[in-house]
Amino acid sequence: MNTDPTNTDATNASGPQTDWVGLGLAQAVTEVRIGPVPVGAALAGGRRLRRRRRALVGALALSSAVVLAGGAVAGLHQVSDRGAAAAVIAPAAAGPTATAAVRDPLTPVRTVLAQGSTADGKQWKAWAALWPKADRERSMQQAQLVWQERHAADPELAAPTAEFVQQYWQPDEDVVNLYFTLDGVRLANDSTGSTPAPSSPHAGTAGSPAGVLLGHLGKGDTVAPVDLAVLQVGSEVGRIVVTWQDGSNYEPPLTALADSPAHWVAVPRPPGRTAKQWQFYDRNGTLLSTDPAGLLH
Amino acid sequence: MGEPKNGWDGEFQEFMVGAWPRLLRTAYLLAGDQHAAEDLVQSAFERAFAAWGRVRRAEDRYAYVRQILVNQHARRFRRRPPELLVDAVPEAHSPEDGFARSDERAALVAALATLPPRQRQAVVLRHWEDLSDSQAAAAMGCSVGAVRSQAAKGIARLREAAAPKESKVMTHIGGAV
Repeated sequence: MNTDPTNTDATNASGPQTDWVGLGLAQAVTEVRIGPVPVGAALAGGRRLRRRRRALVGALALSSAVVLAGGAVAGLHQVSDRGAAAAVIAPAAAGPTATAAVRDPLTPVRTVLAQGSTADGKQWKAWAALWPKADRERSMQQAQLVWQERHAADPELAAPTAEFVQQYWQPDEDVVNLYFTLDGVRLANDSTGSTPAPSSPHAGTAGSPAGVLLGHLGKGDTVAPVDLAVLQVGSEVGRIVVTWQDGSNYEPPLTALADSPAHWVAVPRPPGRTAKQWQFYDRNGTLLSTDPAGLLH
Repeated sequence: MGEPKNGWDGEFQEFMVGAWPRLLRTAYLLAGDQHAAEDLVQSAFERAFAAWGRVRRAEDRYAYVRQILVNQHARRFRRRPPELLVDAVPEAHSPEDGFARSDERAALVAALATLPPRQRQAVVLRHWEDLSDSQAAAAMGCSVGAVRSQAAKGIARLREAAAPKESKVMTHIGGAV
């Protein structure tokens, strides 16, 4: 049991009236058999989760495992929704452009990262909503607003508690919510993470490649219109090339989210293809890194 | 661009090996069964690894994963009614001794399993993990008042099953009653 001496919450004291509970539980757990720790299974399961729609990849921790990419390629002109071809249109910015002067933690700046059409003619868009960093006082309000948007599409999503928000609040990070819309209607498929704010001391490393696979699996009754890899890279990255297994290439456009120091790319998976490698180049065309096992692999 | 994957794997492995026994015991109290507990903890660690970049930056990694475990337990419980977790609600109390007897320990676990999930979580987090009300509230994603209420209700129901042994237990540990 926890014997942390700093745990001085008066409500924590277990008095004689309830000591028997703790003692009983402590005796009960002696029945537990501690066998070999299934590290391999947890690693494999974690990797599977990462590949799924809602798996988040930590900014630095999982970068090489999941995301790194760089390379040059020729264009991807078609993606598939359940196997059928669909046109992909170059991303276009939407909504207001955030600047340092208008940063409002309660007003997100939305950007279209990619868009296209499904086989049955529906228009899909992949959005990034950037919620500028909030101070501690407004972090709860911001979390509730983000949740309200997400909850409208996913009624099972639990509301954030003050304790949770305070525990995981990051003072120098913007919140980024990635999601799909289909014919203008938001889908449940989404992913929420954070990225260093312009004022962050880590802004210079914002480009450490990190990403998420959005829409890889359906959620509830919804099915994402496309399997989409979304990455954030540093401003030093000028070009990314994805090489598919069949030898063809795709060079996704880099998109800025308001004044965020990171740039973003969205790569729809074309029909029946898997990524062979990703390559990152700087603005001068110098190869920065190559990842043979990135997203969409 | 990022730390080598193998480096992260090693760090996660070290953490998992160290935290596994304690989390498994907590999961056992929540799930009421060895196999269910192992499955629950493994599932929590899978999610922890999937988000290791965030978990490793947490001030208290163990608390982070424990919260994942509690959430996982809550989700699974919604799909499976508590009646299926135990064969029968314990009602007999041995006059011989306290929780030292294996059947009594099993009875307590079974009684715990009959509690609604939130009550069970509150009891386990408060009296096994020894968290404060506020810490338990953070782990359960609810208010401090809700933790107090759920824990009180849970204790009251456990007391119905185990109270006759209470005085004996206290005597066993030093006659404190």
